Amino acid sequence: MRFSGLFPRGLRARILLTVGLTSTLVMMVLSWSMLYSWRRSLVRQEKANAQAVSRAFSVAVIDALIFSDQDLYQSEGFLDNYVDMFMEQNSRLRAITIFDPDGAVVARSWYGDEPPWVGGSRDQLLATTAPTTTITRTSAGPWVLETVLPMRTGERRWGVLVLATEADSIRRQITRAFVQLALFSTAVSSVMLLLLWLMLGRILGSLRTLVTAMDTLDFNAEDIPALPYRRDEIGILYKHFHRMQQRLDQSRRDLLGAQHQVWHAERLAAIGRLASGLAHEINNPLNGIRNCIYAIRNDLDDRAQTAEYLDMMDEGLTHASGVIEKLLGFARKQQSGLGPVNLNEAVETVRRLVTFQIERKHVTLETELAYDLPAILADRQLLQEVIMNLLINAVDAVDEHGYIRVSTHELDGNVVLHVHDRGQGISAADIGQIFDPFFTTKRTGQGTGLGLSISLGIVQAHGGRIDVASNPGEDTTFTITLPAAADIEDQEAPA
Amino acid sequence: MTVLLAVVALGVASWWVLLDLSNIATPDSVQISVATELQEIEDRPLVRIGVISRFAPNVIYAGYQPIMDYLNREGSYHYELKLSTSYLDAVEHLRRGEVVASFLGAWIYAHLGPETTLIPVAAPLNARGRSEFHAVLVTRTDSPVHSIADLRDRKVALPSAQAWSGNWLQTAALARFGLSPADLDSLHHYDHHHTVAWQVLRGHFDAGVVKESVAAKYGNEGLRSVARSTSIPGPPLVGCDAGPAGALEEIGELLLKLDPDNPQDRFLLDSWTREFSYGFTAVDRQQYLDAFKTKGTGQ
Repeated sequence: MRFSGLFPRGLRARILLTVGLTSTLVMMVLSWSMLYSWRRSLVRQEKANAQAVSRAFSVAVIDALIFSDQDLYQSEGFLDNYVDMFMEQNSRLRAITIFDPDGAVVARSWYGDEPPWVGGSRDQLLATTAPTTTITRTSAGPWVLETVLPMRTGERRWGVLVLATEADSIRRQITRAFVQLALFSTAVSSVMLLLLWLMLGRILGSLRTLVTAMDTLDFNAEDIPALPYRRDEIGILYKHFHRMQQRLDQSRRDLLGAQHQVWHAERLAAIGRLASGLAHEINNPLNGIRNCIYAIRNDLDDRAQTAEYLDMMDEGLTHASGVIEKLLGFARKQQSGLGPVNLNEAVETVRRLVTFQIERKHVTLETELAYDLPAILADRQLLQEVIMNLLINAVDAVDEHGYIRVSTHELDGNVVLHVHDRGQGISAADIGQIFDPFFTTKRTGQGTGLGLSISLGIVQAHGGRIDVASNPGEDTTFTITLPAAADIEDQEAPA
Repeated sequence: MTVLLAVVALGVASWWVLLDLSNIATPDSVQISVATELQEIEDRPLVRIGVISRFAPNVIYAGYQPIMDYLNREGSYHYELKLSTSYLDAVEHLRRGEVVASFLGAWIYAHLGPETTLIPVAAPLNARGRSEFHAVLVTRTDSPVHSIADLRDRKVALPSAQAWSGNWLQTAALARFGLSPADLDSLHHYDHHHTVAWQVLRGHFDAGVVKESVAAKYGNEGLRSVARSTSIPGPPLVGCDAGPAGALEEIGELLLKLDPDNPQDRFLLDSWTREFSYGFTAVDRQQYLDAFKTKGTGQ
């Protein structure tokens, strides 16, 4: 059995058990030490008392023995009277025996044949040179405190005085003190544990409040609710947690702000890459208009031709205006917002933007879009940016007359977009790094290295993922999987 | 389970402690000495030395038994005390040969006169190294008695009538101031000098006579000395020839050889009662006879 297995798992129970056991042990050890010390004092005091009583009694006994020795009195009746009186006056006395120097009993309080002392032989008693007090249990059961007092004056021996005092009352005092201390210790321990139980309940309740606040933390809420005010350490913990919440919220906002700026920069970079194609699209109608103006100026009177050319010019201007409008629409940093987005429409929008790049390289772009594709809940601008990145990367990857295929379909409640190109593929060494920020295999000036990284962030923010599969030297397929609108209600909305 | 185990363990420990606490038996530590030397002493010829028991017997023994122990250790006889109830009883014991020697009062011995056959063997020295004492008339510090002449119609307490202090005032000192015991309101004898001092301190008597050591002892308690006698020879140890041969000489020799300046003897004397702690000196009968003539007045 492991030692730790002996302890309960709950913090409250563990603290109670540990503190309870420790305090109880400490109190018991202290109580026992006090009891042992007190017992030593009590026994020492009882012995001193017994010796004092014996000495006091011995004065009269010695006088009587001297009187007897000097033939001044008959000491037998004299001493017996002393013994009787002393026994009556001292209720704790159980027996008095007076020996003469030869060991004969000259006075006694008992009536049997043998003296009721319990310790030592008669020879030992007579040879005793200093007062001794012993506590023993008699064969009959009671405890006796026996004092042996050799009666001497100088080297003159008068005999030995033996006083037996009951000692059961000493044991009763000790037992009573033990029980009282035990009850006191139990009561103190119980009260202490009860108070500890209540205090722990309050502390753990406060911690549960804190844990609940951590679990239900909502960064999208307008205000972060403060925890209840407390003046103790828990209150300090609450206050610091609230500050941490505010710092986290601020950091998150700063991060999102920075992220949007990066996204915008990348969008502008993509526009730059579109610019040459868009310039050609604009330049063609402008050349047409210039030709029309030249023709009209050469023959101002030909009103039918002028009308025809004006229509052509209007068409060219409308086309150029449309191109610019599309570009501005893509480049404008619009207020972000979620809404149902048809992925097919987003693909079409992006495809129109990159038409010139596709045509310039004579790339074949096939689109295979599922007609019943469910909507997704997304930020249209961000989603178009992702598609733009993937499509431009594909165009950049393929050679002249290359092949690109964009397809969409639904799979298990998700909307899936494949961007497949038959370009040069991605080497095994690079494929693990392509989503890292600032990683690029393009020449300087042709890419920031942020496109895929930002695209991954956007897709993940929408609850989706990007997978890439590539055969180096043959083809590459990027697959975006996004949850359909019905399945993303519970997802945290991207900013 | 853990709590149950802990409770059971604590309960068992508590029960064991209670049993151990209740076992108050203490081991025997009896000091035993085999008194073979005492047995050897008790086999010698017995020589008794008398002492007048005006105090409780154990008090007398506490004062005189150490001298007996010394004589037993150093001498060749078995010396034991013999208590007498009075001075006269002590003299009678000497005369009958029941004791070889006896500690008598100076007054009693002097009172026996030049015809006595009792021989003074030694007398204790005082702190000044002399064998003498003085009787002192004392009153309370607030008493109007400032002279023996002021004792007229006063109540006076005295020690034993067989003591020098109890006789000095009434037989000699009063007469020097033209007074007689009849001029006093009353005279009362007590057995002990201490009792006289207490009676005066308590106001039961206007004045009292005590030996100077007692007057000095209670000087700080409110007693004032008014008059004192001339030097009186110390109480002698008196012997007779009735005992075993050489016993009296041995006693005298052993007591007189004690030298208070000898560290070994000093150690022994310090363990004795103050009355004998300065050693002994030889005395002769004439000292007491001379002192008796003047009754402590020096005249």
